[in-house]
Amino acid sequence: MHPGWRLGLGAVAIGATLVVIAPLGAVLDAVRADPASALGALSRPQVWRLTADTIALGIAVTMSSLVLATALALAITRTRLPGGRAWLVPLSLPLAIPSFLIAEAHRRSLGVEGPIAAWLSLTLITYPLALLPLEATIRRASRDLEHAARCFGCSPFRAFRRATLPQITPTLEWTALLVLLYALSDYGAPAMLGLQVLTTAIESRRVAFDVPGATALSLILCALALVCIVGIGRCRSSRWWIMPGAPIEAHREPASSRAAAWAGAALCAATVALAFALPVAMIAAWWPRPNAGHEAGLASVLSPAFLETSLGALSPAWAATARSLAVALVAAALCCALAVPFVMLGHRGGEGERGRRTRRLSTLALVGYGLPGVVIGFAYVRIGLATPGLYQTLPLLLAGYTARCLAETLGPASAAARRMPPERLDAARGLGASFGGAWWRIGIPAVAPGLVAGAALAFLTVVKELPITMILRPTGFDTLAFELFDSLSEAMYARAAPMAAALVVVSTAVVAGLVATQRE
Amino acid sequence: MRRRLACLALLAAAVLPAAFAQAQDAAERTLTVYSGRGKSLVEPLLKRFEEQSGVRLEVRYAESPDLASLLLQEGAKSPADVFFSQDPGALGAVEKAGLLTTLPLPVLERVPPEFRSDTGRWVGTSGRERCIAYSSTRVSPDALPASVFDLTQPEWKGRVGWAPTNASFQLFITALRKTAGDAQTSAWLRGMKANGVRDYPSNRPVIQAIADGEIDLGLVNHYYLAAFKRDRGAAFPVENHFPRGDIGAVMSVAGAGVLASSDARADAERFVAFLLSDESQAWFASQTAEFPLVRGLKDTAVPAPEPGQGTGLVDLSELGDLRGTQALLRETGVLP
Repeated sequence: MHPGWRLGLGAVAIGATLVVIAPLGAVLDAVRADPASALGALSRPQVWRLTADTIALGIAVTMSSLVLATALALAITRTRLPGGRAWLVPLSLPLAIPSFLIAEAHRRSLGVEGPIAAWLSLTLITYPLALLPLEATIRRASRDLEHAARCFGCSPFRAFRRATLPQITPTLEWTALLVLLYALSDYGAPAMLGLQVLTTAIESRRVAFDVPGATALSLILCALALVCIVGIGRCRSSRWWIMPGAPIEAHREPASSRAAAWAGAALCAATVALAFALPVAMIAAWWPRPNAGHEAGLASVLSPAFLETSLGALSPAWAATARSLAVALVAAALCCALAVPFVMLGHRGGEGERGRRTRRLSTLALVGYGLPGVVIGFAYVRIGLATPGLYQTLPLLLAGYTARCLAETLGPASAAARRMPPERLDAARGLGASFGGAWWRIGIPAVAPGLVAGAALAFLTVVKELPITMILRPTGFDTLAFELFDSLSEAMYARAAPMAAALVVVSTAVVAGLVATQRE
Repeated sequence: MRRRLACLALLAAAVLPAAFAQAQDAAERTLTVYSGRGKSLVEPLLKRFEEQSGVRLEVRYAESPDLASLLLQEGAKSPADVFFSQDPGALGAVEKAGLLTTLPLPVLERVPPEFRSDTGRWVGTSGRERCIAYSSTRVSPDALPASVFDLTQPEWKGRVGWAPTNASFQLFITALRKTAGDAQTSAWLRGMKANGVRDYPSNRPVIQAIADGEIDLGLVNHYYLAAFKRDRGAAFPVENHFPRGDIGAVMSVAGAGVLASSDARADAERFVAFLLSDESQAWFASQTAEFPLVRGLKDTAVPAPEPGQGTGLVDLSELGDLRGTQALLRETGVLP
């Protein structure tokens, strides 16, 4: 790589990493300002119980989420599921709904609370993060070894474990990391279900202006996030099972039974019902009716008065929708663009000092996903106040979003880059293309599906994001997620319903678009 | 690929200006308000102020403790002129940091002394009372407890809910500590936990849970019920019970203060005065079902609080109190 390119890309990558680790810096700075009380707060007895509970929840959610996502992916790719790949859209839709709403729907309809409820809710909230990558990887994985294993007398499960599982392990690893970091940093679901974890404890300390307590717990969470990233990074398999002649079209196994197909359909339907249909039903029940409180039958839903009330209710939602759409699009594009230098630097950089440096940068750049929004928000308040002209502006808000979402574009983009055979770029260079030209015409388009997937994930995260938005937004820039939260806080369900509906509709469009572009 | 990028760029070019456009007239007077009160609740009132005074309001809506933390971090650089808070603890924290300036005497004297700060740096704008919401279908009015202390009895096992992270709840606990002492408060908290009290993140889910049948009683602020009834109709199966004379019916206020760093002090004071005008107080009474604090109002939807109703306002200007309450709540396992 030309040294000029290396310098330029390196500068951008380091810049992006600094944006992500700024909250870490702010936490360490707060500890430095008052080390005695911060470290003293670490020794309170509740702290270690909270940490243990958080870790236990994170690990449990990650395992169940991956098992569920793998099972769903297998059902879609390996069985003659009625509906086939179209199931990916409803199965990915829980990404469209804020976690506190999903948790509330579960609490109200299933009557569960506490650790088991939090585990169930978080599993259903996070499995979509792993589903699309796993489905794509399983679909692309070679079946030849598995067929051979079956011929030699292995049971289907053993054949899968020995032949296909090693091919999907790298995807399992980075999606596990994403799910784990999300489970550590989520506030809405544990708060709604009455489970006490680090994020809810940080919030309760902050609300009491207990700065040392909040700082101490934030420090623990930062450390946990780093440990997870480094730990999972170390077990990343360096073997890449790119089998020659890997099939592009998914074959359906001739012996795939109808029982398997119906079992798969049942699993998919149950998951969609629990993870998406329940929250949507709850939101639909909030929809304003012309005569509030009177039991309205189907006829009233079709009446002109209902239409009028609905249109009236939607009007405050338009401006908020425009703002949310705009800022989420820009944030997603930004995170996408920032992932490219990491991909380009890391390409072919498996060995040597340069490869290690890139890997370390990528590790640090993932940490923001494991931090709760309030920690990121208040860290950026300090940065914004220290920089003239930056405080309460959109660039500061975008920086906060980048810190949170860069991991969501880095993961899929790196995975897509690893799949691209390096010979293609060599061929392009050999035919006379410049370094930049080869990447622009060959490299980026090859990585594009991963970038698009990452951008869609980042978009969905930003559109429903609340704490960073509330703290950093320019005064008056009220997004959909904020309007929804505000209306719910005041028990104005009639005002909340259109906001929630707009959020779900926008996100559904993005999910549908994403599934459509993942066809390879 | 390039066509898709071009389409995306066109889409962005179409959407972005609309979203980011903020029409601004340089000659307009603007006032920046940090409001811990919900946008869906108070926006109509604030619009009225804009119409009457010609001052454009830039309102930052967020949770009161978050806004207080922001103000504490911003210090003298704060763009805020007025802090309109949902809870006195947040106002007290900002006052203690020396960020609020004294309000004019005529404004302060609109409300009784127990509903404003001792140093005259903030003033209550409307009152809210703690109460026990109950299910009108499953609890008969004669079975209702006369005091919150009765809630540790076996008959209420697993039937009560609360929101321990809520600022008003913590104010109620501080009041309990002041009147009954730390030991009795601690015993009551432990008794409630042993009696299977259920946790919710805020007041709204508590009332929703009563309606859903998850619990029968909830410790909440009185005015949420009015919002539910307006949304779901008068047949909504929850009612408020005020254990008058008991600490369970302690009165708190939402309030406002002017920032010392404000560069629009005259307009800011005008805004606070507007919140205490007869018209605004009547608006609070009719629209949000809160208690007006100004004396001498006639024919309001909700009457002004009687002297000694609840047990008066607990002075949360002393932040030490809130810390002590939090410590007690953590010790008894109510809070993480």
